[in-house]
Amino acid sequence: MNEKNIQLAVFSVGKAKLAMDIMKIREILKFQDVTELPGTPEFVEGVIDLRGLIIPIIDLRKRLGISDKEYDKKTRILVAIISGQIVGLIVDEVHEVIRLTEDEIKPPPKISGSFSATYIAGICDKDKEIIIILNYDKLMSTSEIVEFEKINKSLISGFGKDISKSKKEKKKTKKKKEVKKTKKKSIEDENEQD
Amino acid sequence: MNKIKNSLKNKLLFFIGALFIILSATLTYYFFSQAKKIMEEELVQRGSTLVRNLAYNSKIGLKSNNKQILSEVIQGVLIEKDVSYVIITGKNNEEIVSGVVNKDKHLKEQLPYLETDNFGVKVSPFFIGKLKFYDFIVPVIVKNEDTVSDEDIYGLSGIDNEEEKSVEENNTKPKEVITGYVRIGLNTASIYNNLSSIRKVGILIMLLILVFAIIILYVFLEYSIGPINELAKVAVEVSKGNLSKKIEVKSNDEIGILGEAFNKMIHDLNVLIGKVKYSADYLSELSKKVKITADEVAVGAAKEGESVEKTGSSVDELNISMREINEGIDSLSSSTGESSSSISELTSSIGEVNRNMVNLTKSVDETSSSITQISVSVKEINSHIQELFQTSENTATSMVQIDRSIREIEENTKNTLELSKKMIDDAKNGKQSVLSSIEGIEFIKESFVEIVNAINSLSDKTSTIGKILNYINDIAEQTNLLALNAAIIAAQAGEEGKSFTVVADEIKELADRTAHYTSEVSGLMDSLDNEVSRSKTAISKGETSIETGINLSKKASFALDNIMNSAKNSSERINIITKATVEQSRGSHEVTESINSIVEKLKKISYATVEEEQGIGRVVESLRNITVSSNKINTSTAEQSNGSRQIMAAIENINEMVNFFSRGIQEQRRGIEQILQSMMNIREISGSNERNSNSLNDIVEELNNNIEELNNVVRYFKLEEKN
Repeated sequence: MNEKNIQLAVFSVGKAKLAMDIMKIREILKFQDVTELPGTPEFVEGVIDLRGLIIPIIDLRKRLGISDKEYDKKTRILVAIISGQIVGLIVDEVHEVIRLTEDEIKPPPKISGSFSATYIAGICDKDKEIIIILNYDKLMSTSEIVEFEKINKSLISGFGKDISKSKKEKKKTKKKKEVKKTKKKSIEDENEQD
Repeated sequence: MNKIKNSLKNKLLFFIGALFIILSATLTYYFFSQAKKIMEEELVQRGSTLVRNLAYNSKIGLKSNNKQILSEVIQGVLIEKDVSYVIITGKNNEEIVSGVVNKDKHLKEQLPYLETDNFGVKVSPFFIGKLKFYDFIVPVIVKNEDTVSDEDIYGLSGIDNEEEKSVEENNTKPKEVITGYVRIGLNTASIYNNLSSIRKVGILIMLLILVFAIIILYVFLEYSIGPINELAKVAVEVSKGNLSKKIEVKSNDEIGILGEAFNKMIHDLNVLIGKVKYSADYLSELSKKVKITADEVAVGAAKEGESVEKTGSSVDELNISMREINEGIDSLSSSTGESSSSISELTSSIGEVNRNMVNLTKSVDETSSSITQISVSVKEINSHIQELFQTSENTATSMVQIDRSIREIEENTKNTLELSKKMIDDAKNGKQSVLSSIEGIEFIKESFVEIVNAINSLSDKTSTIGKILNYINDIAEQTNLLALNAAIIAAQAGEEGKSFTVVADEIKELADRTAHYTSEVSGLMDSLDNEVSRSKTAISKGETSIETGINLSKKASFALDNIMNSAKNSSERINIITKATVEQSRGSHEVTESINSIVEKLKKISYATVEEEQGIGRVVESLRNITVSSNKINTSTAEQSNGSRQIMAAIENINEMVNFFSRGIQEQRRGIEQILQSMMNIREISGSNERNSNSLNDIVEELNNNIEELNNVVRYFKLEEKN
């Protein structure tokens, strides 16, 4: 194992095969009903309750400009951390976890100005199939991230949970800690429920 | 078959064809002459325009006497169509510039000198060889000889105006003068070329139309006049005596009616000739019979003549003997009549004998004639019997044939009876097999129900398996998801989680394999489902087939019952027929036997008549014997005469008495002579009979000849074959 190895989760949205750094993913969920939340921006589908944690949901099809598709039993929700915010991404199907060295990742084609060019981190060729590696942090514009922050804040404050530390902390390490805390809490909750 | 050379059809064809050719040729000639006229007029029109243009264009050149300008102008005209030559002359008609089209170059020397005209265009046609040209001459007029103003060249609006103006000016203003003349020649060759090409096409079209029209005409005539030819041929055949021909009547027109009438006439002629032939045959038959009869009559007359001859000879002999008697009496008369009494007795006895002799001859004649009649009638009877015999033999042979055919019928009915019995057996067998097949089909139906039950339970079980498969699938998916999440967590744990990554990978692989197998199983289940549904439809189809099979078998069974019944009925009827034919056979046997017995009887009758004839022969023989005995009597009378001569010698004395007696004998002699005379008469009559029979024969011969002629005439006609 090389240190430069990257692990990627491969999933598909429409006909395209996309990949995402596994380190950014918290969890993969089966599709569950999304509760619409009034007052949220248009790109937010709604929210789900993940073991007590309310997560805003984005449909990646809509996001990438692909026509809608009915959700089926293969539909998954990727819970990821984007620009320090927890977001659930609706994808058509999650295939596998692959390991790549950095040499295998090729730079994205240079198509200046278009949105698509910005969120592609690279392209790789796996078993004669082109996989597009997504650049998470470019998936959402800065204003959208601000909106998200607002939503997250309101959600958290609405539930009266003490995550006040995380309000101003935008460093990833601290976010991880917070994630661990919430994870522990959620595990505890599950235990209690069981 | 002889062909009619100058047939009506050919005449009509020739006449109408010639008419059409003349008409088309006239039309073509008229059309081309008109076309030529129009084209030539057009050419003249064009030439006039060209020459006027040229005159106008060459004004400057003429004024300045510039040959170059003039030749340029000429070149401009020469390229126009049909232009053959262009000449520009001075006012004194001397040539200044000329141009000739290349192809007409050799003609330049041959151009005729043409008078110029001072006013307007002069058109004059002329010929060089066969080519026709149109020559156009126009004078070039300007106002002043010294100067040519722009107005003179360009100021005139049109050529016609210029012409008018020049004419006017010539009349009014003496200053305006002719500076030269312009002459153009146009070749008509192109017109003739065009015309000849058009003519070729036109003639071709005309020929095509002509050929087409003749074909139509030929077909029409073939259709309408063809039957007349047929009629003529058949009429020729009929005139030769062949009446078997018939005309096929195709059309309903006058020719058709004629044909039908002709057919009727031929048919009537056929019937008439047939009747004549039949009558001639019948006549021939009759004449044969008459001839036979006439022959018989002739034979009878000949026999009669013979017997008369014989009688005559006997009478002659009698006469001779009478003379001898007379001589004896003469010698007796020379002697004295002593024994006058005995002589008188003798004479009387001789007279008696003589009388007896006459009576005997008469009776023999009568008997002979009646026997001849009997003989003739017996012969007739015999011929009738022969005919009867023939007829009954024919009947016997036909009866034998009838008997044979009846036997054949009997044989056939026996065969048919056997066949129908066999058919009944077959039908029974068929019914048995149909019933067994119905049973088999019922059994198949029952087993089908079992199969359906089995398939239904199979279907239920497959759906259960499907449910289980779905559960397995869910579990596999869940496992897969868990494996993915585990891999993520392991990756996030870093080095510590690496071993767990391997486990997570294997779990994922297991989940994938499970999913793969379940999908395979589910595919198999789907195909199984398809098979089950297919077999269900097949079974339902099979059930309906079985139902129809049962119905058909029942119908077949019913039909076989019907066949059996009808076969039984036919068998009964055949039995009745067999009995009837047996009876018929027996009856025909009896008829044959009775006919045979009739034939036998007829044979016997025939024998009897032959015997009768023989008996008649014997009677005739005995008659001859009678004649012989009468001759013997004659000789005995002669002996008696001898005795009387002896007595005469003794009785010369009684000569007177004898003389007296002699006178009596003389009378007797006269009587005998009378008898002789009558015998001669009889001979004559029999001779005439013979002659008559001969003439009858001749007549019959003639009749036969006539009948033969009639037959020949009838034979000349070939009658239509009767079906």
